[in-house]
Amino acid sequence: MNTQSAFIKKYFGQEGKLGAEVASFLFREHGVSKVLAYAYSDLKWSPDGPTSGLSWVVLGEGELFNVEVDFTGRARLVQSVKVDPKFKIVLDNGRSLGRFSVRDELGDVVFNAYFSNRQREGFSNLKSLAERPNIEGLSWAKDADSVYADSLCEKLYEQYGSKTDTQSSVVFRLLGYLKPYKKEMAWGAVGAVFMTVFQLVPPYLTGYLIDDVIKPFQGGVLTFEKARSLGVILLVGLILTFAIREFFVWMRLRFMSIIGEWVARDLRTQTYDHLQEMDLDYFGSNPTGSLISRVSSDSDRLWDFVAFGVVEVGVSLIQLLGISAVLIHLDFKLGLLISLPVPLFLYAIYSHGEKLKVIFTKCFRKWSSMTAVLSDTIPGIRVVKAFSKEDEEKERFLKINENMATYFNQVHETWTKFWPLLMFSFHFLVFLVWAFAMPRLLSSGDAALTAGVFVSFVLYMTMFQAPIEVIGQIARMVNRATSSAHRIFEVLDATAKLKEQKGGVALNPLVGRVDFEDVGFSYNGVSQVLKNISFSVRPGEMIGIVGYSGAGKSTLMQLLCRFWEVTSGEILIDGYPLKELDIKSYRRQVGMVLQDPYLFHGTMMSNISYGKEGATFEEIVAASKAANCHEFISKLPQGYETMIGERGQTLSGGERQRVSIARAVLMDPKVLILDEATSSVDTKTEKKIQEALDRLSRGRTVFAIAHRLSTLKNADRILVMDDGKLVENGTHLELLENKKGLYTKLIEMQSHRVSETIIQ
Amino acid sequence: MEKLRLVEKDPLLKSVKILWDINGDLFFYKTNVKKRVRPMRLFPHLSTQSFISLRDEEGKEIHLVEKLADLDPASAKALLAGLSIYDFVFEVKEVYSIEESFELRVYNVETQVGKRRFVTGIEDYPSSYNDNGLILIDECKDTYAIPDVMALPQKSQTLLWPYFDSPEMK
Repeated sequence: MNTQSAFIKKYFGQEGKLGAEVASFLFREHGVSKVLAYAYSDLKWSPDGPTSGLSWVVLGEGELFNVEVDFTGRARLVQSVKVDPKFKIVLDNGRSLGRFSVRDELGDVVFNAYFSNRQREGFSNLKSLAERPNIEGLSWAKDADSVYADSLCEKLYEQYGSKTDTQSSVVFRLLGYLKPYKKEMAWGAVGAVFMTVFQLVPPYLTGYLIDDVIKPFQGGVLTFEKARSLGVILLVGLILTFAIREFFVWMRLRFMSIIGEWVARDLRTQTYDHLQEMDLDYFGSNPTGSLISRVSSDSDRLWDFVAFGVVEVGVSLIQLLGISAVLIHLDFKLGLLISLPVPLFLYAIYSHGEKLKVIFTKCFRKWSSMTAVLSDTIPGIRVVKAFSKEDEEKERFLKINENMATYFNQVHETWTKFWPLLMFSFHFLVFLVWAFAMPRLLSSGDAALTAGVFVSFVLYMTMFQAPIEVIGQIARMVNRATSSAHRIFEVLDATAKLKEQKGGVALNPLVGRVDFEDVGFSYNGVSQVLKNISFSVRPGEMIGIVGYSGAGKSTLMQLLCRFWEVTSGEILIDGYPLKELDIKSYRRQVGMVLQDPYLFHGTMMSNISYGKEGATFEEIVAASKAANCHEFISKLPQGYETMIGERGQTLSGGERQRVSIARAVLMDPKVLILDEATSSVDTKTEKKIQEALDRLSRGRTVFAIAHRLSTLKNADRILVMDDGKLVENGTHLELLENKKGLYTKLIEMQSHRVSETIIQ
Repeated sequence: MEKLRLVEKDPLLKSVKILWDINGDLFFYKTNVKKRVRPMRLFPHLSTQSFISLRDEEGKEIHLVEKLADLDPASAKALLAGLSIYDFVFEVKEVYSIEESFELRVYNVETQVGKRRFVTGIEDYPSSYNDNGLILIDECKDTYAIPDVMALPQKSQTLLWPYFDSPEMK
């Protein structure tokens, strides 16, 4: 809740929950002891037009209140109305303004509140709850704060996650993934430090060579032999320095790139494992593409940051500090002259990056327009040609393309101006160093500067540039990495709503008795999808389930698979509460054949044997024969080893369905669910599938959802559902006896449709 | 060839009356029909005075006002009052900041009804209309209109620069 409150404040700038002053005002002045639901009315309407609103519409026990809070935080009642079943609650939706009104029997408005689209879900929930009698008695209903917060956050959460983390917290959490690799990190860091240290040696040796070898030799202080031997030592020292430095470069690169790969691997595994444990609710509310990119491309992006980013910044800092220290040590004044402006350079690079970011935003926008034109016209080329619009399309593309080039050139104009200017500023410092050093090089007093020190100094100065650039770019690097890390952490932090009982009862084998006892279900805790469903099924019975679309048939079956948890009542399997069963062992004995079966990328054989590890060839062929798919598989050149998928064999809907039935046959489930298994195939294919299903159904408890009621002629009993309720339950003949019943109506509608088709 | 007319002129147009009642409801009257309606502009930014669809509670169009001027003054006034609710959009008067937060873009703006903060996806750019106008639709589907970017304070223009093209660059 606190996270959601923070989220609401951060992104919508409104209160994260009902203020305590409103709740206490309602309790004090109107005796409201429990707030059941509330929504925020952020707009008001007057004859002069809408204005800003700051009021809460609160549902207490049987009464609606509109309470305004002034800027001092004082609550005031604007309006209230008793919730009368005879009254009608109306939600009117405009473009950005909605209206919640309660109307009496005559249609007159007795309560009014206005809101922007942002609050629409909240008001819709309020309406649902206010219209329901005895809401306080419902155990499944969410608390008012959650209903309010979910109404605002859920959509954004689904698409973008709960972004209340700060960038630094994300970076620290990411760095936590380095913990298992402390040893390798230490070696990488040693490599980085010594690489930097050894980088500082050559300029020092150059200075030493000039001041302590060349100059004394040229001045006659040092003999040729002595100078030569010192020169040889320095040469050996120089080559050794280079060799050792490269060794440390190798050490740093090797260890850090490997660690980067390990961290990416760990994150990928952890994310994938976590996804496998999430419930269907999570997958239903998160786009598949987004989840895939989090496991693949986001984790890959982090390799770059961990392998190089983390160390690169450290190394650059060490380099800058090391070079500054050496320069100040070599010559205090000159050292300060060159070191002090460094922060200014860093800032200049940072602000240049920010400026580029703005231009890039424009470029990306243009890029997106260009790709929109491409993705419109290339797939829609027939339409373009049919309307002879080629010239207009060419012109449209040319204009966007030219605009885009203009803005990308603006990027180039900016950076090509910036870097020479920055380099000139840097070289101006070098010039200043020369200008200040020159008189001292030519003097012989205490302030004199030796040629060796000066050369070392100049060489060190050239080493300043690279670390400044790296540190200047750090913001961009961190931004990219934290975005990716955050997307991954969102998945890792998500928790499954469905809690599995530890040490659950493993019913092995299942007998197949199923009891629904007063089962209710709601996806969002507000609107009930299933209401008070009760029925019992004996082992081996075949149950047909019929009803209009949206009646709750599939939801009922998903509850039986325990993809979701019932919100009230109980499902019993062989007399045991479903929630107390070992879910994996249970699901292994429940088979499902869906309307649109999913086959994995792989061979026919691997798809058929998916539900039974180590299935023999004999079992696979027998299952295929039972499912009526052996015939078409055996005609394929690669037989059961034929690949299915994009680059493999393409299967028709009926063939896919039969492969999925073979998969169910091999699994040998004790409870079988057929969810519209034959609805998307032609009559000829349907016959083959129906034969396969009849074979598969023998000796099992079967639930079959079907639109074509003729496919349920073999059902022992039929459950008829309407608007989340079980309205009829009986055999085909029993149900037909009720002439006004829904089943009879459905049968009549279908016969009418069939005769219409025949006439046509 | 006879010029194609998309909308047939209603012969009973004069009998159409629109009333705005004390409850804040818009009613449509025509001969024996009386219905509570919701108005909707079909060209909300490009043509505000024409093609206004009147829809009943089920969302079915029961009348199309081709031109506001075709209505009697009282009905036109009532319809405009209804539109002030149903066609209300936030009009941005000033932009205080536009920030990026992970994959979201957060706008802090001043509108005709006060300060608002709203978010769009980072790749959801505003769309342009007329010469200098911008339309932003946030993640909650609230519409924010800027009729003339060039009329906003200089700082707002600078902040909107990446999302706005001058007419010659469109």
